[in-house]
Amino acid sequence: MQENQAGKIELEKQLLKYAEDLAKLNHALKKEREHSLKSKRTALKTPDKSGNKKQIFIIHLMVTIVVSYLTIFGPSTDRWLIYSQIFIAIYLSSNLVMLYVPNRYFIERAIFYYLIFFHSIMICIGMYLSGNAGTEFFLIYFLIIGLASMSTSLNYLMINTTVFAAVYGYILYNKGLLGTEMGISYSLRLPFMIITALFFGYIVDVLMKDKARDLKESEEKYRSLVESTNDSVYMMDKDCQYLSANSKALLEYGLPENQIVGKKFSDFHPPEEADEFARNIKKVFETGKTIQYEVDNEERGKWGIHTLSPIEAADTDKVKAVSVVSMDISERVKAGKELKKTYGKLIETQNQLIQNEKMAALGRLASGLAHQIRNPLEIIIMGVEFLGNTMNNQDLHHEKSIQKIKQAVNRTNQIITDFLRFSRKSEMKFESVDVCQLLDESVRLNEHRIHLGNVKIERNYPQLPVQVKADRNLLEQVFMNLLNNGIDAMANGGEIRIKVGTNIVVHIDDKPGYGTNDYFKVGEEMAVVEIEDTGMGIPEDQLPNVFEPFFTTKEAEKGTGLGLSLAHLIVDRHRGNINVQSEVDKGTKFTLNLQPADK
Amino acid sequence: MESKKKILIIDDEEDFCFFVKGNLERTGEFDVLATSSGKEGIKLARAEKPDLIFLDLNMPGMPGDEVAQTLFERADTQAIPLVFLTALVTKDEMGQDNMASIGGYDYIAKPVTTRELVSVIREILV
Repeated sequence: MQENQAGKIELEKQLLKYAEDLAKLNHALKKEREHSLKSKRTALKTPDKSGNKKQIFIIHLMVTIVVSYLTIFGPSTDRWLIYSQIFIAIYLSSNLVMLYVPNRYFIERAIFYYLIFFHSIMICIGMYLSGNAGTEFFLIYFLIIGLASMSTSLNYLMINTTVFAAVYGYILYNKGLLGTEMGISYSLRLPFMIITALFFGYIVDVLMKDKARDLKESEEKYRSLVESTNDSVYMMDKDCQYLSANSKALLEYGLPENQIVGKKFSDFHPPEEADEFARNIKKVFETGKTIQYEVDNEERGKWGIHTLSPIEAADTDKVKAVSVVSMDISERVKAGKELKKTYGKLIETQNQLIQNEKMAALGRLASGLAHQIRNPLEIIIMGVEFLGNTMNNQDLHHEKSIQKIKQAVNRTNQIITDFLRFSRKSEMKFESVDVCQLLDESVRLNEHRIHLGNVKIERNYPQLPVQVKADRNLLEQVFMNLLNNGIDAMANGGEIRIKVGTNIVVHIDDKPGYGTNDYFKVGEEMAVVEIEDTGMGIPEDQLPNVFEPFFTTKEAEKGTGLGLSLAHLIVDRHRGNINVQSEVDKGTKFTLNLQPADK
Repeated sequence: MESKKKILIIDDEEDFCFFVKGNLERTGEFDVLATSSGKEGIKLARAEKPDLIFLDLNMPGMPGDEVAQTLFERADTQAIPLVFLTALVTKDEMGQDNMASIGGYDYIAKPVTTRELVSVIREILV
């Protein structure tokens, strides 16, 4: 009794511990989920660095051509013709020079300063040489203003414009244009240029500054998001090559950025994963829609979610690149699995506790019954003997009667014995039992009856021993019961065939003794024991009742009807199956499915 | 002629006591005292000094093990051999004649036959 109490307390402690673990895991899982929801993903914008040279070249070409044209067809004197030609030649060849200047100089702003200065000078020279000082030639300078305001600082624009105005003023004076009636309108041109430059430059400057600030702000925002996020963020082109990777991604790969950019996804990932990735990238490029999919690498214990978002070019809607945000959910998945496992353990422990309670209750019942029944039984035995001793005229019938009464008492007693024996083992001791060995043992214990009953035992055992997880004594009880039933069924002798083997579960079906059960799952291995006799069999209509308590087809003295129901109970507590097939006058076969010891 | 052995039976079933007394005394070997009360049994043990006591372990009132404890503690009853009658065994744990020695104590399983009782008495008091 003490032992039971101690065992129960142990189990209850375990149960509490599992419940605590479960609560902790649940909490951690909740936190993890909240955290991952907070991190946001954004599409990145790539600064467009291509095309700078082209734009600058076109403007340069435009200005050169216009100025050259005006110079050629200007009202110049012959004296300046040579100079004009030389001037045009130099100007036009500057285009050629431009072509050969490498791309990288066009990224920096400095080139604009040089260009604007160069053009300003050339326009002045052109005006002077071509005699176009008084014409609208000077309006070309507004092109330069436009260019300068967009590419250089306001200060530089103003300085340049002021100097140009001064030089232009001097040219006007030199050509004697300031003295004419148009003199005032000519001279008005100078402040006009300056004010225009100021106005235009200021507006563009403000606009540009805003734009630049906004751009800078959003760039910084994106950068900090990309860098601070706990997810790997990288960009791929349509050939699955890396365009960039954030610091988390670099950490994951363990490489610096320059060793990742330009390489392919397949360089760092196994083929199937890389194939799936490539397919999804292609889909994003084709549909322009974001794709999210899960990746699991169970062997490495890593699970992730890839979110592939299209990055469209600013002007067109064509997808230029794909941003990949790779979220590592391994922790979450592992926590989930852990939770499931702990929950499973919780349920198992709970079941164990319930089972033990049941057994304890059963034990108490059995003890109570034992007392209540055996006390009257002892009176009957003693009383019957007393009668026998005190009767004067004893004849054979009296002696026989006494014997019959005693037999009846023994039968009753046997029920109590069976019941007690089973219920007492509230803690079954599971160990690895060699089934064939145990069967042989059971056969040996029944040797006498086997011999008397003229029964032949046939064994069909596999080469290797079949070990099951069982309580040795209880399982032996089951085998004994089945063997005895077989012997009893063959009044005139016969054969008992014992077969042992293993099986992989293919399907679970209904047979008398068991419905669908969840002790074995499809694909699992189980140990199989078949005990078959050539006896009188069991009628089909009685088959479903065969495992009912007190059901027996045997004559009264031979069976209590408890054996099979106890066997069934025992096998069930071993998490196994027992079922029966039978045909009248042919024989009966019991099949046991048991848990292998190594499971 | 050998003197008869004095046997004391303490069992809560009165009828059992009655029958046992009759059956054992009929053999001519024993004088039997029987009571269904533990307290009464102790008194009798002290007064009569039996050669052997059969004691039912599962009795209401004063339980069998308490009776045994008392008998062991008293100097005048300490030495008397004690055999427990118990309902809570499965017969295959018992040896021949349904008797077993466990932990220094002797047990016999209910329900008993006269023959078994006699056999036990003879074995112990030989």
